[in-house]
Amino acid sequence: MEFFQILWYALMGVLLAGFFVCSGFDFGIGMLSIGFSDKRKRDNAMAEIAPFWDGNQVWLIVAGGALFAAFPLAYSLILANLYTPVILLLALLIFRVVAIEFFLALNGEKWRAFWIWVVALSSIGAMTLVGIALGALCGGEVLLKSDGGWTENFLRIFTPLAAGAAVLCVVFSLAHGSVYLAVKNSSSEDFRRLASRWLAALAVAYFAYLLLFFFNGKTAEIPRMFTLAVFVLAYMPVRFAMRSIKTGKLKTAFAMTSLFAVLAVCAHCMGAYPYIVFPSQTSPGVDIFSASSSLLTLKIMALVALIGVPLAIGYFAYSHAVFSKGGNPPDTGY
Amino acid sequence: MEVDLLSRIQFALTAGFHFLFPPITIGLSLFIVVLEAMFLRSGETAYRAAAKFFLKLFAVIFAIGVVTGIVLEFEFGTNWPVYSRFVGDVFGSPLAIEAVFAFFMESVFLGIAIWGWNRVGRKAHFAATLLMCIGTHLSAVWIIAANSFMQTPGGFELQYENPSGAVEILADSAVPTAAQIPYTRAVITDFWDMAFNASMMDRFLHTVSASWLCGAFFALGVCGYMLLRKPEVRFSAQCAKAALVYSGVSVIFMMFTGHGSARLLAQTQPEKLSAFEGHYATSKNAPLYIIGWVDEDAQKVSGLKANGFFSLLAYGAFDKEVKGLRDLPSDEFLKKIHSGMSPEELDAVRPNYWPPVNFCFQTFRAMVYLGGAICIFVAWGFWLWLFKRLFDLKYRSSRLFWMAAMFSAALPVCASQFGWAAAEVGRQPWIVWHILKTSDAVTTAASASEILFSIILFSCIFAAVAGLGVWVVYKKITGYNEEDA
Repeated sequence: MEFFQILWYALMGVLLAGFFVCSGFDFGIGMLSIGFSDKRKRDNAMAEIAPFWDGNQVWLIVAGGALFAAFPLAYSLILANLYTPVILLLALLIFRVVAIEFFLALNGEKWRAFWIWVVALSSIGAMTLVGIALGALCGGEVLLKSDGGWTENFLRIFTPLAAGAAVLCVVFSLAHGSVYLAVKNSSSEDFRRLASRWLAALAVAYFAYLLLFFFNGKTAEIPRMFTLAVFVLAYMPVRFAMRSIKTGKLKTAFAMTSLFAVLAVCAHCMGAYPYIVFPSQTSPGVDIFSASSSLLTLKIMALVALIGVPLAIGYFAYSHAVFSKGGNPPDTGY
Repeated sequence: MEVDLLSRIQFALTAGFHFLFPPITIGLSLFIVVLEAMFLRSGETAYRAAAKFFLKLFAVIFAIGVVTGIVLEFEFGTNWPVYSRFVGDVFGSPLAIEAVFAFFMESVFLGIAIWGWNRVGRKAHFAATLLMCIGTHLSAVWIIAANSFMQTPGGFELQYENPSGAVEILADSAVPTAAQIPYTRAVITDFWDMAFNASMMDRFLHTVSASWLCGAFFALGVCGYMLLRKPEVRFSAQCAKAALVYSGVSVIFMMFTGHGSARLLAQTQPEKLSAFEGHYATSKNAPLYIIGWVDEDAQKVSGLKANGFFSLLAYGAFDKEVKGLRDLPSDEFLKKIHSGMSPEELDAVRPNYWPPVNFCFQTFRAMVYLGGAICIFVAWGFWLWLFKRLFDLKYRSSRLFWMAAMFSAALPVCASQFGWAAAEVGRQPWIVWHILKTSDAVTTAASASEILFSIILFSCIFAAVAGLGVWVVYKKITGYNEEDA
């Protein structure tokens, strides 16, 4: 039983990491696109994510479904207590999806100029809320409601650590997205410069976040040193990515920002283990052993993940292989 | 207003809005596969142009469908946490399976299908479209498995953790009391019994055939527009023929599955079926109302009726006895909840276990009559085809048909909405049939003002999305240009 509970805790991490690696770049490109004064550049950037963004966000849906199936108690507690932030996240996701779809669907200049703003703002907003939720994992009394009023209940989630995680998520998306654009436009010096700049920003943001975590972040059963070690280790790929951009190994740089996302998620999961909702003065918290489904469900779901996740990774690999040959055709409206 | 009522409104709003789109995409995905198969077989580029065009429309509708579906997935937690915790072990797995097996497949291969025309070969492209279509159908399988568990739960047991901390298994078909609910959860005992529970297959087939109709009628409507307004478009006629055949097959399938679903209800959820028919007193030769109005206070239906046809519908013979609502749910069942009550007292509480009868009665009729209109429309199309007037726009009858086709695209979508409303409201007051009541499953964490805020927020967003979505689809159809394809 314990094996499967821990396995599912780890798999939740895998799904979250999948979300950041895959969706990170399309969120980031969505944000970057408003910065492109050149319309061609903006349209091409959006065309780069067109075939992928829909599949990418599935990781988040799967993470939600897996939390429901594997840890129903945690699912119901967290979502019910984070009512307004979750509703806002959903609203922002709707805005983002329809904005991308509407942007691509028609060609009018005003039409596109309007929707690109919606894409960018909703991407920033949604990533912020995802980051807050993740930051709350390690310091999670914010997950459970106090008896305060409506605004207090909403504002309570913006603790320093959670806010730091939100900033980190947004900056990471920008860096990951800019590296992706550099990979896709390997001949362009502009994109490489853009990527270096955002990677530098990521390095600074992450360093600040590390300090914040060192003083503010909580850890549970796994010795604090181990968690901190992984946190520090996650800094390495960022530096490495910066060097790879300089030496022109763009794909390596992309692999490195992806690795950063995996390690950062891993560090947070380690810090919180075995809790999904951290204990606090007001509540004993929720750990994976009390919140999980029955053994049979966990086994069935493990089988599903064992077959389904590699299949999904296969789909993504195939899809990227199909679209990797050269840039997209210039007519971006489909 | 209360949290309970607001949560119901919110869920009805979001689920209703979501359910406008998936039926169209499910139906359309299969239609696109058919078009591409015909292109592969005949090599005629008109079919490819049509497939390309419909894929573009598909993408817009699909995106709205996906994102409104995400809302539902998380609403189970935000608004119905008691429910989520109670059935999470059972209900969560089909949702997760749907996401893992269906969502990745449909959305990744949709990307390839739309953007990959020049990047993969014909056959690879066909495979991508086919996988996308399989994905949308798989998604229907699992979401309906989850929903059917709420209607006819099976393959589980109820585990109750009593105050001393020991876990006991409640007897089969026990109804946990309000005090027990926070400490009880449903646990899977047999996965396949749970997923393929008593009503799953019938409901899946009925929903999928309705979805095919939605797709087919959408395609017919688009072809109608093209035929009338854009005579230069090459694919219209061929595509319209394919859509008409598709809707003909689906309509037959839909009638059989609809009848099957109704007959199954008589076995599994008799209260619901009797509410559909406003059938209060148990009787032989039970009447079927062609049209009517249910007076819920007087427990009477006034209207035009056909005696015996309800018995025929439910049990296949005129003289079969059909239980009325006054005997449903049975005394034995009610005694599980209200032990020690006399038969008179049981009669007094019984109406609390009925769904809103008139609502079910009317929505069910609306669905059936819209289904009838669909049949007539399809028959009309085949009639014209038989006399070779279908595409001869010199004739007024042909022009009239295609004009009607443009508007009748709404028929199956409306029928689906009414059918779904009847099915879900007919399940009330239960959220899980005869196990957990909806009013016991609602959130205790969120406040009424928060939920009201979410309702207002979603109403505004949905209105905007619906308006813009329709406009984008309209623009794509009217702005279609052969040269671009």
